Amino acid sequence: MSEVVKREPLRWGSDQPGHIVFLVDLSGSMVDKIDYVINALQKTCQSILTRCIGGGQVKNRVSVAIYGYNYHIVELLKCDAQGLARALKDAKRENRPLFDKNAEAKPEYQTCMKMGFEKAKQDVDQWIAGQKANGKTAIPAPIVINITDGQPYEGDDVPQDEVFRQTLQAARDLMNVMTMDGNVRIFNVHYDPETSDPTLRFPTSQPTLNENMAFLYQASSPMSDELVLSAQSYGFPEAVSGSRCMMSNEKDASKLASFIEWGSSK
Amino acid sequence: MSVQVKSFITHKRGETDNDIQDSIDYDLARGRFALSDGVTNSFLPDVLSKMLTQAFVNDEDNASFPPDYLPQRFKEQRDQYMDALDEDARMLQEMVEEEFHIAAATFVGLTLKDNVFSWQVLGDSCLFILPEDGHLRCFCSMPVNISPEWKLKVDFGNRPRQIHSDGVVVGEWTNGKRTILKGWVVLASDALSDWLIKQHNLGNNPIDTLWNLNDNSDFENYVEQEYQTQRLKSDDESVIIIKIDEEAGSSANSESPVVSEPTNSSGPTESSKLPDSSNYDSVYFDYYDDFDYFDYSDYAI
Repeated sequence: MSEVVKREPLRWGSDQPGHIVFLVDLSGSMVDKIDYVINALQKTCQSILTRCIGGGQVKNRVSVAIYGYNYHIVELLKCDAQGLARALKDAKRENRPLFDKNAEAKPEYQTCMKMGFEKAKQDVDQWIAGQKANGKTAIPAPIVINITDGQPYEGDDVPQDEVFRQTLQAARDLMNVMTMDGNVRIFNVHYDPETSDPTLRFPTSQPTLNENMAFLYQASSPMSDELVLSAQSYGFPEAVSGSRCMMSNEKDASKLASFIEWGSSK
Repeated sequence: MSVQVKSFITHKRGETDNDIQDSIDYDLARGRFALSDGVTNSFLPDVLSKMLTQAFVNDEDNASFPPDYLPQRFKEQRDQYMDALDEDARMLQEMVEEEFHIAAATFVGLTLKDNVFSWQVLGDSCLFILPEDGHLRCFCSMPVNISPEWKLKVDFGNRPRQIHSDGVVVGEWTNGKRTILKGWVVLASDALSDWLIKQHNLGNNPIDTLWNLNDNSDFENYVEQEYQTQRLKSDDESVIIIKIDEEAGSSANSESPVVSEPTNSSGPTESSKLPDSSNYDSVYFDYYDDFDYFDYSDYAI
């Protein structure tokens, strides 16, 4: 009897580019964190770009979309690797951050996270359709990384339980999108340097401390063995078999940066 | 004893020869063979992998490897490369350098001398030995497990074992030597090694399959076919296959030595007598006893 050859996760390359969506909470409470988040995103984008340079050329091995969300969606960046190179070079030449915290990336209003997940689903649906239209069959599963400092909000008249339910449904709809490589992977990081609540990294069971942690747990993808190994190599010994791709009440800014870079490092 | 060699190399799917980060090199007259896989997430890995294979094959004395001149020579090549770039391209490469700082590469070196072959391996590129009527063995820095049915399992996980452009060697070398037997010796980069192991475990003859390819164009077509069926990961794929037709000690009947430098496209099969040398310097532990014990005592019955 012959053995079945196990399929390996698809590697990203020019022939089968990957796709990463960043969702950035731009609610008002992010105002004292946005500098660091923009800086971490810029470094991550640079890191992504460096993995797309071969033979002195920029190869379109990945495309990136970055959306901000508060009461509406802001498209901060949406491009392939060559577009990313242009954006980063322009920022470097002009000695400015990739995004302007007083303009397109200005934190204000509330955390309408459901809208963020819905936008991400629309984005990955379009991206997968585009890949298929170009004749691709080996399409790597897209990655979505959500950076927030709060909990979902849908208006004062919507009970919080209902907000969690609706937002979780949006996250699950996104996670259910799949390619031959598997389902869309969602990484959630809840960053709050001021909180006195305990930090939780890569839990293996649903947290009971508060509803937001429980929500983030359910809205985050389970980790494959490959992801566990790579997380450990990025300095996260908490990642073990059965962990979810999430951190909550993270107070260490360097861990936020590592999480974002790890999540986008495939 | 006669030795025949074929070598193949190709790029990741969707890319070009200019993007190849692997390097292969050999010199039949010297009995030296080298394969190096430049690490994608590093700075100018293609430059380093080429420097390593050329140094191993061509340096008069390669007993100490990597050579002491590696950091300085790499810096010179880095400077030449950067000076030739326009402003935009230089800015990109500076980002890459800022991100990774150094180049990194895996390495497999094989020397055939005095009817003995010796090897040194670092990283997930692999050396395979398949004696005629024997079992396939694999040598690399990763854990290699062998089942009682002689199925190989290599953990190609995230455990970097590399040579860096600053001369640092990360991880321990896997060294060995043994008397040459009739059969095959193969040097292969990681994805192709993974494929070779899986095909072997399925009862197929992957070394024969590769040997029967006529040229690099055949190899590229075959890689594409295996890639389409998801049996092979998209990566740079490189391999040197050495076919030994007679055991050590038997009379040599090959043609005169042929010396060549492999390029990105493999030339025709080359054959040669093994080099004679009376000053073989045994710097590696002798693997022969362990090999025979494991081969015959544990699993033959």
